[in-house]
Amino acid sequence: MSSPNDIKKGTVININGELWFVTYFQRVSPGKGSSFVRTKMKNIKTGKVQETNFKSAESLTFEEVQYKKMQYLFNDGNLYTFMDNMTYEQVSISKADMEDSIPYLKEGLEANVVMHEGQALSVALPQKIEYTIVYTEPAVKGDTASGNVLKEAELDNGLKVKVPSFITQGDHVLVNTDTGEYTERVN
Amino acid sequence: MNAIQTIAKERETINDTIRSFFKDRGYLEVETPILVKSPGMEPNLTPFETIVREPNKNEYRGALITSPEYSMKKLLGHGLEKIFTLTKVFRNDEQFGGSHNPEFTMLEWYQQGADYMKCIEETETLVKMINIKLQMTNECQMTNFKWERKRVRDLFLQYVGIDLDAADRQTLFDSCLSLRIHTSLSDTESDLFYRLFLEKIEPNLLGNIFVYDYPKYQASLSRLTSDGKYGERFELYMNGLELCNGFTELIDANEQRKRFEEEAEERKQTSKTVHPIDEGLLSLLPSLRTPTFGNALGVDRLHMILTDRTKIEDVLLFPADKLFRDY
Repeated sequence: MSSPNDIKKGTVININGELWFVTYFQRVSPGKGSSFVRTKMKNIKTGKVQETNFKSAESLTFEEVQYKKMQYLFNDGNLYTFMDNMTYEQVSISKADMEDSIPYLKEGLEANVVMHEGQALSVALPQKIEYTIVYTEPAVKGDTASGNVLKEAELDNGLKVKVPSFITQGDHVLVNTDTGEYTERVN
Repeated sequence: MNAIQTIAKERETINDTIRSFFKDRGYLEVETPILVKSPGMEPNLTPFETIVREPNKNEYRGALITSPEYSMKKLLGHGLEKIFTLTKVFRNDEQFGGSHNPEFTMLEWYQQGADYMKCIEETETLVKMINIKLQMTNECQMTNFKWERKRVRDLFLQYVGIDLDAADRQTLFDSCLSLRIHTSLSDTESDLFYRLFLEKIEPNLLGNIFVYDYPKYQASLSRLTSDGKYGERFELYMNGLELCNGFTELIDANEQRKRFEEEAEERKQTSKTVHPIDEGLLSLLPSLRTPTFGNALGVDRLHMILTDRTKIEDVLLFPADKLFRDY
């Protein structure tokens, strides 16, 4: 038995024989009373998405899942294909199973594919991914006066993010895949 | 100004405004210890623990406060009538970022001879004043400032369709069942209440809303309302985020001891450290006057909301994420 406090993104919970894949979680502590874990989960069989709040003191059954380091190859419409670089084994994950991750994909990206009984359930991206800025306007003089000025930039995979004004074309930056926000410049 | 300069300046404005607000109203600013023998006893909080040593090798178990509440109440017991403190508090096992940080700034204030309605008034005035000051000095965006006050009972009538006046554990359980809300066999009345609150009410708390008069089991240390059914507790939600928690305090040392013992038992069962009961607090509690209100407000969250930021790390000069994690 496991505690809801151990829930992470990618945890698989067995509820009355049905398997649910956690895509989001957040702990909440009310001013008084028990603390809870708010989750968004997806039914592995039916694909149904559901929000469920677990009390921290509940006991849950987690299913063992494996995380396999794989490389993103390509997408053809509805399917996203990854390959294990050691065994050349390929798996495909449907669009609906990795909705949140799609904007961050780029060719050759290494990520952990979540496997359960030989089936690829989803993918867990690194928390921060490095990209190259392919386009952004030069900073406008005077823009920096009021502090936190951001401008739009396009990354090498087509994703658009807001970056600080000192960032220029060709810079390498890290983007947080939980929030979709720029975090820092890499030298 | 760069981002760090902006945050530092904004925070100075907030702290200065808080201090002048309370001083203008006759409050005394007090300092309370951060390192103590008995930190908060709440079952769901995990204090940071440490060992305090003297040169002669005497050792004492210590912990960092999760709130200055106990020290503040002791000062009231010593005869201080109106006090406030701006202090750092610490909670372990918290998420890094979002709306949580393991170390954060808390404003607590207490007044003897006044109840929670007076405190709601003061909270509203304080938040409005800080908002104005921020706009004057930093050209921050104006937040929508419509204020509302809602009884928990009315929110349940509106969004859940049950009358808390008459609801017992079974009513709450049936309501969860018919709304297809997950429950657990171990759920108490309070747990079921909170499940309904989280799913059906919290998503509707947009704007600036004081939620008040919580069921007794959610407000065990507050004075009861005149009908005896609710506790005089309130929370302020701003754009869905919980900002403060205030009470008309219950001044009953026996009841407080009972509650500490229950909480100690709960901590024991969940394998958490059981901290010693603060006897100093229990002996001073009967000296407080009735009514006395108290309120605890998260300053970092207030900073976030009033400057239109969505993450606590955006208003901290040194967020935990940057201090502890390596990328």
